[in-house]
Amino acid sequence: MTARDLLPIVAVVAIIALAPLFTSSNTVLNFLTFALIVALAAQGWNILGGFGGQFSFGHAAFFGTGAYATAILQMRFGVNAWIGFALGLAAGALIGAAIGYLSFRSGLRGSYFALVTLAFAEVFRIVANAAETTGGAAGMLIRLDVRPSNFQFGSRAAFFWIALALVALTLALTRWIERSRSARGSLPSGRTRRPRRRWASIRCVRNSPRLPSRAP
Amino acid sequence: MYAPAIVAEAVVNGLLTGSVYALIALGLTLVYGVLHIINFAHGALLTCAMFAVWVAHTALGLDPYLAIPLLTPLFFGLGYVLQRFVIGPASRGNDSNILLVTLGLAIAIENALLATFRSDTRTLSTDYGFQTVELGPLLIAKPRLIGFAAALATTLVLWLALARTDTGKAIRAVAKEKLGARLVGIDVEHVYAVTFGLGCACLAVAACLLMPSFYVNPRVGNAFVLVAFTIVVLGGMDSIPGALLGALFIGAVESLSGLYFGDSLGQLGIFVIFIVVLLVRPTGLFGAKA
Repeated sequence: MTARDLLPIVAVVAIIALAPLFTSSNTVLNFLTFALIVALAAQGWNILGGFGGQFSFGHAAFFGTGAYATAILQMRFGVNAWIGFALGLAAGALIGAAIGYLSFRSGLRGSYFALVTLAFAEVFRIVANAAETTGGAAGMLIRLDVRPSNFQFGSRAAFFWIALALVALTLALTRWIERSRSARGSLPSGRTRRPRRRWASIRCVRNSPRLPSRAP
Repeated sequence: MYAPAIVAEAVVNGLLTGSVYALIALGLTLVYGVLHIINFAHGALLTCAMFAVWVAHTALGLDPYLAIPLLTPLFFGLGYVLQRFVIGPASRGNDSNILLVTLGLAIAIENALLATFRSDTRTLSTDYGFQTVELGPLLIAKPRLIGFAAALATTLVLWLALARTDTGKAIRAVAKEKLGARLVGIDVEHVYAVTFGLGCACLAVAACLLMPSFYVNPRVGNAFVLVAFTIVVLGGMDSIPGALLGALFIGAVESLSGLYFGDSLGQLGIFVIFIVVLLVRPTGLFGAKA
């Protein structure tokens, strides 16, 4: 990956980063932050769906795992929000790895993979709606305590910039995957190229499960 | 522990619900068997059909059961047009595209319904909606009994149509060998569209049978379609008897796990079965070929 690969990313992110200078409306900033979070989730899907050619319909499970993990760690165990953030990320990745490992080990691809991920997401949804730890169908709220060390900021712009920084990181990561032969080679990219990769002794199953992981 | 009569009633009720699940799953199985794609718009189309029944009843005063002969051809036509002019062309012959096209279609339909009917939950009031029939020690809701009989009859008709008619033969030929079917002069695009239309017709019948005892809102189809996916996988993806047996089995499992674990965890049993079957035996319990 060269500097030229990163230039468009840097340029776009720099322009978007100026947005809070033009508006102080919380509604607009909330909307933009939400759009960035969706971009983050979409990029997570893109790594497996776009490069890998396997359509997961269960990414909601990873999103939910990350969100619930941070919230539960904070509210029930008093863990610092930033540590909770990191652990939530790890939890999402872990669940993604587990589901990916089980599905790809069983050789599920295409429609079958879409179905099994959908079913996993549904199981998570039902459990989250019924379990007491997650607050059931009402969910849980995080106590308002505005301190940067609490991951709570007085200005919406801070959330916006954090989301933007994460999007920038993800874009760079995706670009790296796009450019790097070994990273692309380990993707479960579908029907025709799989045998060749197997022949090149890339361990498809071991490499695949890392992909569908993305915490919020 | 529950009294045997309660457990028996749960099983019978589950089987009755299962018969309507069978109709929904039948449409999916048919489309999968021929087009080799999973139709993710199935749930949204079911919601569409249920709203059609609701509109026919409130606007035209048509009884849900009498709406069957009206809505079935209508939805057959809708399915035909959708496959021929939307899904087929948009997929450009690539199976994984169809997956995304049908998912997009589902989102579009769901939101169109949401915009038209709002997110209110609606029900129909019929004279027989709450009537029950006594069968020995069991009390069975009348609409479910009628639904059971009608669903089995529809399944039989569909099975006979596939086995005996020329169109049925063409559908089976395309399902087995697309290229071969094209070489002997079968219009494959037409057969695809007819199959999709039949799938939608099944949904229309299912909607008519469901409405007297069920509610409708723009997202109601999702609950059914996930169950239908489970049934289709359990039944071996493209087998009609498999789908029927799978549906009855799933209906009973859902009813029993609802009884023992409560409503919110009731569906968990189904999805656990689903995942285990997919991971361990993706050809399904009744599927013969790999």
